[in-house]
Formats: sequence, structure tokens, C-alpha cells
Amino acid sequence: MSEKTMKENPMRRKKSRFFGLNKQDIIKYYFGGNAAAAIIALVLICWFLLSQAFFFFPNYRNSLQLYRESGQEYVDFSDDRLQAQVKISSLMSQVSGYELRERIGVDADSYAIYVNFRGLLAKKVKFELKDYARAREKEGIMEFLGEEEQNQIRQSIEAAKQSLENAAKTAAAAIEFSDIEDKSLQYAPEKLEFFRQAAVEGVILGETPESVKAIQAAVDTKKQKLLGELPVFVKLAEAQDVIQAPQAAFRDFITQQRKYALETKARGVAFKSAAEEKASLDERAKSATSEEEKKRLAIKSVRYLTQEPDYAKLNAPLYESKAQQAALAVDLLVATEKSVSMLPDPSELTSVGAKKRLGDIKKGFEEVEEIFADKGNEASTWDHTKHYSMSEAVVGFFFGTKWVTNSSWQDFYGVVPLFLGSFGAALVAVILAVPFAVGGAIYVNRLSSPMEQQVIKPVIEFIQAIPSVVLAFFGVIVLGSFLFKYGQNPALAWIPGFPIEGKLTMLNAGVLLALMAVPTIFTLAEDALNNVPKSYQEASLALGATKLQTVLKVILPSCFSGVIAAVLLGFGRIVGETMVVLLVMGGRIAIPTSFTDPAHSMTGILAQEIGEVDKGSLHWGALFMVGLVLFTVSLSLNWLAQTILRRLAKHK
Amino acid sequence: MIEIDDVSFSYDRGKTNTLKNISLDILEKQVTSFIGPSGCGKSTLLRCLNRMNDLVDTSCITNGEIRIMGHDIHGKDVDAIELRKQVGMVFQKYNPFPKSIYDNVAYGLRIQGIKKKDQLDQAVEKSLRGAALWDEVKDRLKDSALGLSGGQQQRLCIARTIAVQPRVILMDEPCSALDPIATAKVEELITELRQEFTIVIVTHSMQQASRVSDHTAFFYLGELIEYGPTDRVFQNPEQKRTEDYISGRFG
Repeated sequence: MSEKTMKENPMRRKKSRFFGLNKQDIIKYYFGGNAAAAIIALVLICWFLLSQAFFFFPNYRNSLQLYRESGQEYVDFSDDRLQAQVKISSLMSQVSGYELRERIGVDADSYAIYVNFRGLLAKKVKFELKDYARAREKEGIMEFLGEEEQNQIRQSIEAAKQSLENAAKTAAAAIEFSDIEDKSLQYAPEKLEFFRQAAVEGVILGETPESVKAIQAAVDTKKQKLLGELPVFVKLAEAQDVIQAPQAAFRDFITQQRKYALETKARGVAFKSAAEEKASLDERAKSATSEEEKKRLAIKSVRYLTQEPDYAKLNAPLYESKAQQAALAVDLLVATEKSVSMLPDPSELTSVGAKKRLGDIKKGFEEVEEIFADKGNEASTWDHTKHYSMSEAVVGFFFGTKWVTNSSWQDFYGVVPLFLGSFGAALVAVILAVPFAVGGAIYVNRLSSPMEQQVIKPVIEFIQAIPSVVLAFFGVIVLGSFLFKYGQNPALAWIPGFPIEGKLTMLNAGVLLALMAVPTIFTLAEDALNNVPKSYQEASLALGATKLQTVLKVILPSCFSGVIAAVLLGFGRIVGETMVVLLVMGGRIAIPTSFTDPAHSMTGILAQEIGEVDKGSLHWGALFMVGLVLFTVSLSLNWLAQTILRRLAKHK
Repeated sequence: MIEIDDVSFSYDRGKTNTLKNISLDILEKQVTSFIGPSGCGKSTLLRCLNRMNDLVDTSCITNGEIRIMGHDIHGKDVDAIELRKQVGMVFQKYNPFPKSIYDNVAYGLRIQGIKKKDQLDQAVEKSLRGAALWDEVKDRLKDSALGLSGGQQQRLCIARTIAVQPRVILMDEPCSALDPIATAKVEELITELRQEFTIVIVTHSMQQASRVSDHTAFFYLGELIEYGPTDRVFQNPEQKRTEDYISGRFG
């Protein structure tokens, strides 16, 4: 080597370079770039959410301030009381309705069942019906025709009728009560033949047959008789008269005041938008380059009137009405109290539904008294000049119980009903999913044979592959009806929320979400179980423990935090789920009182409303705030689970 | 006490026998050690004695029977759970549960349905004293067992085993994960325990076998080569292979 240096340096850098980078560098930066992109995406999403939601609270405050200044708030104090009272009176009519239905019995639904039957039948024989109708079209021109042709037409009509009758009879024989979609109709099996007959007659005649009319008439007579004579109904009717008597006066009063408030609001809104427009013109004028342009903008700006409306003057009629309002409210409350005391005793009622509603009235009345006291107080001290603080707006969003949008009156953005809907359905889901998933994981991991493992694990993990919209379909079409049908069973009435009163409920969504949470919880819990050292099991068995004792007393406790983390991640997974809750939960925006109520969700409202809202509007900001709340909830659930898992790993 | 009578054992439904026609009698309240090179079947035989091999689905005894106190342990009237209460086991790697020291020792009694506090307290103290651990841990019974040193953890496992009052204690290389000082303590303990229990110990250490055991069995490739009083086996082995192994010529 010392004598002769090699001509070519074997250690020389290879030349193939691209922008000064060799192959290894490019691969390294590619992977690094991917990781960086993920982090940048997360930061951008956070920034996007925050920047869009940032102006929500000031804008919401302004909106609520105008709500106060325009007197709408004052009117709502009255309206809230009226609504609470109307709720009681509508409960009373429900008591009456349920009781009447119970007393009359199955016949009460005869007409509805007949209509359903005939509808089903008409669908089945639609071709024969069409033929018959076509044949009869010629009846109109018969008088212009000769004897022979008339006979021909008569024959063809007769033939069409005959074939319709035959087809209808065959089709009717196949119809059962269970084909009727409205399952709330009760039916008596012995009446099945009657309805088939009536449906056939109805289809051919094209009108309600006499037999059904007769039943209907009998039901009407019975109804009149019951309402007029039976003490329960008399009492109920009297109570209803008393409670409804003062409603009209109060309603008229509110309607009148609404007009004032809406006019004031219109002026307020006009002033605000004019002021905004003016401000932006002034801004542009300031930064304009040419003198001419400045002048032009200044002239334009002057055109906008910026006289603030005189709220004190506009609200004068409201202030003047305070005494009248208080007097009317007293009338209303006194009538309600009197009416409630006139109600029949629950023992006089026979219907379960009626009894339940009677109980609701008693409970509801206490609430009404509270609402009257609170709102009455607020109305009498109402002052339109009072400043609406920022904290009130923040509380109004996070703890507001009303989510009202696109209203001609006033929009409210309170997240509570949506939050409860999301959280409630997820909670139902977790409660249902945990026993299945954790139990399944224990079985597969510790108790099953290898053969069973090979079957069970892929099957459970396969559930994850079902698209959520397909699950939602299943929920709407199958599960909803199933839960509704069996939720009526009186044996279940002891569970709060039962009997179920609709198909689209939080329970229905919860069951489907549970199905979606099971694979997540199962897989993670099984991992956690797998991480328990085998030596624990050996030690326990060697001490004479059974397999079950070993699982429950040694293995499960030593991976408990892993299982908790699995449950939390499952929870996080379903809180963010959209399709199922949007389609299956019923979309009612109100605070759910039990887990069988319909509800709306945070994810659902975003999916439903974000597409049709003006960019930058208050509603837009509110939706972004909801998104932010959702994001925070999911993030903290994930963080919590990760922390638990990390601590677990450290512990090991 | 334990009669092993012409036993063959297979891990793969009888295709190949891991143990081949082994017969030996283990005497009551004596220490018997199983020695031999890795894979010779000594641990397998030990695990047959309390049917821990049942956990492997494909395993089975293909020939012969094992009698403990005169009863066939694979007999129809024998429950593996009850068997293991009579025949306890200490493992190679100390494996206390991630529970407190107290709960570890009380575990065996609790799963038998004993709930009375004073009864448990007594048994825990007695067992810990029996395992020569009481003085070291009596002030921290509620602390996690995983905080003890390796030797202490292994003695805790022994305490846990003797708490259920077995007749026989099986030890599968109980000192292989311990340092020399801890090993010495455990060996001392084994000599103490032989007064009350029949002990079978599997070990890789010839010195240990000669120190603690009364009888020694030498296994090679699934066969029992030689069995006899420890002194004789070590000083006057009858078989050439035993001598080669003991003197370290292979293994």
C-alpha cells in the first residue's frame, strides 16, 4: 500500500445524488415528513376549530343583549309560564284519552285497523283494481250506445269485478294483524275474519262498508255516553274546563306583546347591521389611497343612519303591562291549582297510561309553581338596560338547556341537551358492551379451547367491519320495532323509562353503539389479559384454585387498569360516532328524562346542520363550539386511557 | 408416600414419549432431588405429580400410574384441584401475585372459603415463620409483595405454598434465579421443612442436590438412570453415565 496508492479510492462517496441527498436521506426525510404531517394536521385542526369558535361567545352575548333590549326576554318570562301550564292541561286531555280508549276497548281502533287492512289489500290487488276502474270508465258513455254494446260493457265490468273480488279474497286471506305496521293498534284475534271481509268490501266498493261504519257509530255513541255520564270523565272534563279558561286571555296578552318585541328587535337588528356596514366603509375610507375614493366612500357612509333605536320608548308598553301580566299569571296559577284538586282519584282510572299521566300531573304541578314563582319574579324586576355579561353567555352555552336555531323569535345555543344525548347513548352502550366484551375476552383468553379461539376472535373483530350506516339502517328498520314491541311488555314496567313509547330512542342507539364498542373493548381487554404473566396462573392453580377463581381473583385484578383503559377507549370510540346517533336516536332536541327517550347528539347536530348554515354566522360559531366540546371530550378520554396504559407499562 | 409405577408420559397425544417407563418411590418426610441435563424430563415428571401438565391440552400419561398416599392421582374419584391442595408447588422463577404480602399468603386459604380474620392472621404468621420470613416482613404485611428482594419473594412463595398445609411440596429449580446468599437461605429452609413435609426438588446444581437431599434420582433422555440415597449416588454411582454427569463430563 505504501508504495502504490490505489488509483480509484474504494471508500469514495457514491455520486448518485438528488438535490444533494442520497437514497438513504430521501427515505429518512420521507418518513420524517409523514410523521410531521400528522402532527401538523392535528395542530391545524385545533387551530381551525379554535379560530372559528373564537368569536362565538362575543357574538352570542350581543345576540342575547339584543334579546333583552328588545323586550323579547320579558315576553318569554310570560310565555314560559303559559307553556308550563299548557303542559299540565294537555296531560289532562291525555288522561282522558287513554282512559276512554281503555273503557271502549278494542273496537275503538276498528276504523284505524280497517284503513290499514284496506291499504294493504289495495296494494296487493292494484292491477285488478286498475282493470276494474278502466272497465267502469265506459259506464259514462253507455247511454249513447246501442243495446248490444251496452251489454258488452256490462259484461266486461262484471268480469273485472269478479276477478277483482277473487283476487281480493285470496289476498285478504293472507293478511294477518302482524302485517299492520302501526303496532300500537291492539287487536283481538277473533276479529281477524271480520277485518278481512271488511277490507275486501271496502276495496270493491271504494268506500267504507256499512259494517265498519256501524262499529264506528257504536263507538261514537259509547264515547258520548261515557263522556257524559261516567263520573271520572265528568270530573276530568270539568277540570279541563277550569284549567283552560284563563289560557286564552294570557295567550292574547302574550301575542300582543310579541308584536311590540319583534318590532323593537327588527329596529335593533337594522341598526346593528347598518352600524357594521358604516364602520367597514369608514375603515376602507381611512386606508383608501386616492382622495376621490375617500370622498366617495364618505358619502356612502353618511347614507347609513346610525341613530340607535330608543329602546326605553319602544319598551314602554311592556313596562306599563307589568301589573296586568302579574294579575293574569295569578289567574292562571289559581285555575291550575283548582283544576288539579278537581282531578279524579287514581283508583277511579283503569288505564295504566292514564294513571301514569295522572302521576305526572301531580309532579308537574310542583314544577309549575316553581316556574311561576321564578319567572314572575324575573318579569317584575325585568330591566332592558341591564348589561348581559360575557360569563352569562358562556354559562348560557355550556349549561343552556335550549338549542333553538333558525327561529323567527330568538336563537338559543345551549349544548346540554346535545351533550346529554351523546353521553347518555354512549353510557347505555358501555353498560351493555362491557359485560359482553370483557366476559368474551376472559373466555377467549383463559377458558376456551384453541378451536373456539380461532372462531370467536375473528368473528368479534369482524363486527368492526360493518359500516355504521348499515348498522343504523338495521336499527331503524329491525331493532327499533323489536325493542318497541317487547318494550311494551307489562313485565318490564318496573324499569324506569319503560314501557317504551317510540322506535327511535337512546336505548336503540345505545344497543347499536354497544355493538360497535364491543370489538374495541374486547381486543384491548384481551391484550391486557394476555399481558398477565403466565406464572400467576400457574401459581394460583398450584395452590388448588379453580380456573374461575384464578381469573377472578388473580388475573383480572392484575390487569384491571388495562381493562379500564380498554373501556375508556371504547367509550371514546362511540362518543364520536355519528351515523347511528343521527339516524336512530330520533333527533329530538330536548333534555332526555330517561334512556328510552328520543334525543339528539353533538355529532348528529354537526352532521345535520353544518351544511346549511351561513359561514361566519352565530349558528356557524355555535356548531364549531359544539365541535370543540366534542373534540375535548374525545381527547381527554383518549388521554386518560393512554395515561393508565403508560402507568401500567411502567409498573411492569 | 409417592409411588411412580412404570410411568410413560407424552406431550403430543402419545406420538413421542417424553418420559419412558419410570418407576420410583418417594419417601415420606424426606427430600428427594431430581437431577439430569436439560430436557431429560425431570421437570416434566415433577409436574406430573400435581397434574400441572393437565394445562397442556395434548399431554397424557401413556403408561403406568402415579399413586400418592396409595391413591391413583388420575383415578376417576380424584379432582386435580383437591390434589393440588395436597401437593403444593414452588416454581423456578419466584411468582408472587401483585398483591400485598399478607394477601399472597392468605390467598390459598381464601379460595378455600376461609374468611375469619383471626384464623387467617394465625395461618399467615405461622406460614411466614415456617418460611423464615416473618421477622423480615412482619411490619409491612400490607405492602406489595413485588417490593421484596428476589430471595424474599421466593421464600414468600414457599410460605404461600405451606399455608394450605399440603403433604408434599414440589420445587422446580427454586434457586436458579437467586444469588448465592439467598440460595443458602432457601436451602436452609428446605432442610427445616423436611420435618413436616415430603419434598421433591428439581435442581441443576449438583452441590445443591448433595447438600439438601436424602435421595437422588438421575434422569437422562426421559429415562431414570439411577436412584438411591444421595451419598451413595454421588460417591459410588452404579452407572457410568451417572458418574460422567456428576463429574461434569457432559450435561
